[in-house]
Amino acid sequence: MNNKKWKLKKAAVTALSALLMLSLSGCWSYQELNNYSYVVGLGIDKGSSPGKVRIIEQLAVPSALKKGGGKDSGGGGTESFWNVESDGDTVFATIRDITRKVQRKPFYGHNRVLVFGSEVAREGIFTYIDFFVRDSEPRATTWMVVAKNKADEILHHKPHLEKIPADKIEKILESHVYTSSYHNIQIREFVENMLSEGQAAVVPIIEIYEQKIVPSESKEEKGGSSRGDSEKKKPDTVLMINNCAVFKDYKMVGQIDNIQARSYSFVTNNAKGGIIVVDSPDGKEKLDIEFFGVKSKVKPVIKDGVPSISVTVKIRCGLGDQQSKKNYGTPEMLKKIGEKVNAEMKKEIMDCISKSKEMKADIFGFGNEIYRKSPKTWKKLKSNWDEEYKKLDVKVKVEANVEGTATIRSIAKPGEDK
Amino acid sequence: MMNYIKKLLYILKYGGKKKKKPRCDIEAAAELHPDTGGGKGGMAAAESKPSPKPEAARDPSLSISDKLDSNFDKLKGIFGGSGDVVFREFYFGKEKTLRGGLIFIDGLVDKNIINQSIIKPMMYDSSYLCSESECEKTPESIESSLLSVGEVQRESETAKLVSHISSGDTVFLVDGFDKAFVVSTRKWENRGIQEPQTEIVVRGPREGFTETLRINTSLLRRKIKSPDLTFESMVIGQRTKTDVCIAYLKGVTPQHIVDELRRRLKSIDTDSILESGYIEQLIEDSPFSLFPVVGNTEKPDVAAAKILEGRAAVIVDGTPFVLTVPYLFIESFQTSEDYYMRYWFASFLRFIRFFAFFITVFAPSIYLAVLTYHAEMIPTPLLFTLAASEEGLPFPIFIEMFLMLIVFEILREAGVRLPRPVGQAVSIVGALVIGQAAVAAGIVSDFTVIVIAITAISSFCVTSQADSGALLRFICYFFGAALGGFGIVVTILGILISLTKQRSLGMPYLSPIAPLVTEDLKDVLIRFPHWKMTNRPKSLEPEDIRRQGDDQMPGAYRNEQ
Amino acid sequence: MRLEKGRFSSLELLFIVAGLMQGSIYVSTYTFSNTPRDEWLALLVSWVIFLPFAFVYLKLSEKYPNDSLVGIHDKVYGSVAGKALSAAYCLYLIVSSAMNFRFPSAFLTANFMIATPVIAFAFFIVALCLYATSGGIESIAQLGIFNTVAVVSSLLLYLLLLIPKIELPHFFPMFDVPPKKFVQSVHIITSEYMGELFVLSSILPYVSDRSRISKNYLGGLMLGNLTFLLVAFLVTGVLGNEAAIFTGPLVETTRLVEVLNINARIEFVFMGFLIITAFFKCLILFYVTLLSISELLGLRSYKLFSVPLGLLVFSLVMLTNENGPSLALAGRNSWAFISLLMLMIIPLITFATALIRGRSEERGGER
Repeated sequence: MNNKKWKLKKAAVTALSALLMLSLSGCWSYQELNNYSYVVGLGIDKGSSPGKVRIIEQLAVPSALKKGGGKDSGGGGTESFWNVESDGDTVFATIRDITRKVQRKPFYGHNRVLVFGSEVAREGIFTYIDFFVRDSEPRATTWMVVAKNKADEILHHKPHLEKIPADKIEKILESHVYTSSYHNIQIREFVENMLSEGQAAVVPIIEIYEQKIVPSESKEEKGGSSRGDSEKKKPDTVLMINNCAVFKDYKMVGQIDNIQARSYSFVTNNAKGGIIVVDSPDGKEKLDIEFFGVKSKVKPVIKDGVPSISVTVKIRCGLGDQQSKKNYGTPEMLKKIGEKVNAEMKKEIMDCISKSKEMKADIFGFGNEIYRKSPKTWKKLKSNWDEEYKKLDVKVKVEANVEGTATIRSIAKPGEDK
Repeated sequence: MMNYIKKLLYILKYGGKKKKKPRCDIEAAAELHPDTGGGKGGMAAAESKPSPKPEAARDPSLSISDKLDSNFDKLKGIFGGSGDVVFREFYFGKEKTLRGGLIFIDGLVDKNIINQSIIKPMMYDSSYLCSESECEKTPESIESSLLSVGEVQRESETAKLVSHISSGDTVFLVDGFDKAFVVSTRKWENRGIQEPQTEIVVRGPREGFTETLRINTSLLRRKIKSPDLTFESMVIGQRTKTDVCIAYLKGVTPQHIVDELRRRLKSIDTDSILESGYIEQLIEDSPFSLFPVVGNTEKPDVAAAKILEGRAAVIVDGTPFVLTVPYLFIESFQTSEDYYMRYWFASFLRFIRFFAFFITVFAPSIYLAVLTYHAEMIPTPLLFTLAASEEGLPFPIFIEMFLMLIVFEILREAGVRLPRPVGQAVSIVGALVIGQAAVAAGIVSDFTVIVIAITAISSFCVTSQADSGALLRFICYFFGAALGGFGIVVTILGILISLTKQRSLGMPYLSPIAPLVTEDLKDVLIRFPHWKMTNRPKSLEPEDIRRQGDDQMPGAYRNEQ
Repeated sequence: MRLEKGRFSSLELLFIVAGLMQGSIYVSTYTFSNTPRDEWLALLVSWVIFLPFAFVYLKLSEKYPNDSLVGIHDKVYGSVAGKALSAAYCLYLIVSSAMNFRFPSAFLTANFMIATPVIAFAFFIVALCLYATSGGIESIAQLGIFNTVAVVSSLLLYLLLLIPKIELPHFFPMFDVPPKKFVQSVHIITSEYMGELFVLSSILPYVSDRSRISKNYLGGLMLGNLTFLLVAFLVTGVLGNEAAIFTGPLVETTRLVEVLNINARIEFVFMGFLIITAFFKCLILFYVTLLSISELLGLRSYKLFSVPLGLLVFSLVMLTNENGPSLALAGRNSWAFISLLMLMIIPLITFATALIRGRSEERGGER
């Protein structure tokens, strides 16, 4: 009898203590959904005084963002986002400090965009980037951009199609596949570039572009009484990605323009689509060649301890647009166009390489390739890589394969297309 | 004090106090099924319990005497004046010198047989019978020439006579003989063979067992016409005296399973067995477990299929649910239709069932854990919609979900118990009131309702685990609420561990997955075609392992050579 | 032999061996900081080095088929020295269990659920271990297959999802690694990852069909090694040189999964599978510790000691290694040498002594 009672007691005590432990001592990491505020974009600018950093956070307002929500809540009344800023010494402390202004704890698990102000970029972003790599909450796949001036004006800019600026920035970055004139880079990739041998990174620059059109009476402003003339005719602005920043050792050392950025995408195998403008074989017009796929191989060649690089680029393209009635749809003409494309692209790539040599920034990863091929050679060159890079001999070979002229040969009556 | 120290030393030395041998010796039964991974490895002979002593039948005071009046008085005293027990005396024999008496219970007997086959021949055709003092062959002639009934026995123990009368037989006593004739006249109203309500199939026979044992055995006989099909009867329950019978196929079902089953049934010592569930809970291997280790079915084709694979069935009088042992975990995911349909779709349905079971146990806790602990796992647009729908709700998600789970259980139970005309109203009320109105009133969010609805629907995919699934759902829910994703992992591990510790009549519950018997995997996750299944499941250790010839695949090329 | 009445088949032995090795995948966090690029090479080298030791373990258990570790030591070294050595092993096993219990708890706390203290995770792992050991070796052996299926399928799934991110140039330049670091990686892998197999000699007496032990043992070893190779390939391919800076490179790779632009992070699913496998290793270590201590103390049944051992291990988990880096430091430096001694050198000596003893007995018997 005693045995049974004791067993029962033992079982009861164990069960009770387990239950208590679960429910009373609290579920430590338990957070309700509406105890969080969701950070979708972050901007880093220089602080009010030297040595300080200013963080701008863009928080989403879920009730305006839910499906069908914007329409319900009195159309256009609720903003879908709001920005908070804070000033402080270090990144993590400043970020945590923002909770004094926001009643809910910011949650970084859905942060997509990190915008650096240009001053911060020029000074060096190493001191600011550690938190985003170390902490487990922010994503490793956050996109990085550099603002032309300050980060906060980028984050304040209200987009037209999307509801949140961070959304728009992300979508613009993702549309690099259409022009290949910039390369979107994630935080993780950036750090990896910085950690590899002698390499630099390329980060797109985003700016606010003022369009030359003036909007008509805005239909969205319901119930707004007509204001004064000065406020009606504000020019329309859009966010645009223009040029790319070159980072070396976490500092921005220069810029490359769109064409050079495109060549950069070509060489690093990141070009997915876009248009190249070339002169026609007879020089009278310009042709638009659309390319679909680019494959490039970077091969280091080491002779007697002297390295040189040979770059081979294979482009798959087609004729997209022409300005005359000439028929380019014959194999010889396509071959000639191909040669033109080769010449043009080679020129652009060499131009980009010389620009990078000017900036002493090895953005293409040639040093990395030399290291991979022959570590011994690299060890000798490593210490003085800036100068060695300038002397590096790069041979570029472009092979374009113009596949066709799309649906028509040319808009011409027979006999006119010569 | 010294006693205490001695006890402690004894415990340390011998590893625990000596426990009383349990009634169902599970460890001994487990030794019958060592994980050998191939072939029957040394099966230890489990010790057999001594069979219970037959009732003191030799005691003369428990037998009937040869005086009709004293017998009648004794039996009248036992039956205590119930109105439906009929005592009929009459005279028969040469010059009506013999006196006989009939005892039967009205309502349990076929009066036709009594009138036509007992009373009529006795009264009209027995004129050649002499009284006991003159000839001794009278009982034989009564039994062999006059009682024109199919089944007649002779019995002298009072207790057995009482139980025969209570079961519907008629007892024929003759003054001067100390043995009574027991004539089988059982007939009563029963439900008739209908489609079982709990196991509905699209394709397949629609017969179901009924509450009468004899009809059930007849249904099984019609499925398996082999003479090896054996029915062993016994009576369990001291007051209900329920007829129970073990059905198995001699030469296929392993003998140790039948022996173990018989042993366990005979050791049941209770006064009432009203349904097979009572027996199920009294012969279970692990009485504290959540999962059922004894299967039940209402359909004769299912029971026949299980017997043919090497299991034994237990038919209980008074209930249409027939038990099958041993019962493995994967059997809950197999239905009879799987075998009548073609195997592609049947395999797909198996996957759906496994997935449905997973959903019904884990969906609420995964939803809760992901929302509250791992909000980064939700796609961003969905997250905003979720967060927006949680705005302004009074309860935290944990309480909200828990309320809805309870409400669902209430709805389900009410839907079963309510009479049929009102049943429709319950479903409408459930959907409208609880679902729509609660969301609109701002008590719960619509996502909670969606998750609970999916859980509810999935729970009906795997009906045999519905009860354990419901309890597991709650356990998983609490762990998920307390520890998030880690809590779910802990629950999964806990369930797995408890499944691996289970045994069904000594056989590991999770065979053939663990311990792995690769030949049996033909019927677990996917169903191999019939022409591939040449052997019975090896994990059941049948005595005759082949069930069909090789190369049964249909095809025109087969008989070309 | 008298401690455990259950038996398990050699196919389950395969899964136990594989599971034990897969549970030690956390060892990769120590080695990736040394050899981020050449992990696979270190693995292949240690594979080659370890194979003779695996044969030594097998032959030792073949020589004494009915004895577990304690029994073997008794027979080879005599009763006093054997018991002393077995006591040392028990101590080693307890500390090893404590470290192994601590690792998944610390990992979860650091990376996922930051607010929850380590004690909560460790409590549940210990409780589950206690629950499982009360079912005996049969229950543990049946868990083996679930564990292996879970880990292998999740790794393959992640391999599929991460193929867009794997860059083959990350593997180059090959063979350019400072030799000291390489040797340390090989040392850690051999002694901590593969050497753990020696503890299984406590449960080898309970295998029911002994003829196929070596085949399944080596098969399990192969499976475990292949898993690790897959992990090494995945981490190096995705992270490259960066793998050196992370405290948990395997989890970092799963952070990078991007499925169809859905914008969801599903790394906890992978962590869930890793917890299952870490639990399995903890379970086996716990069980072996239990068996060894019970045999050493001469108890009749090991179930009596399970709760005290659970409490002991739990308190040890709390007391040793106050923080993550100290655990990593111990695992990388000192523990590797202790494991080398206990799991590789001493079995070799035991085997040699057993051979010599066997031969001298034969000679003595013939005379």
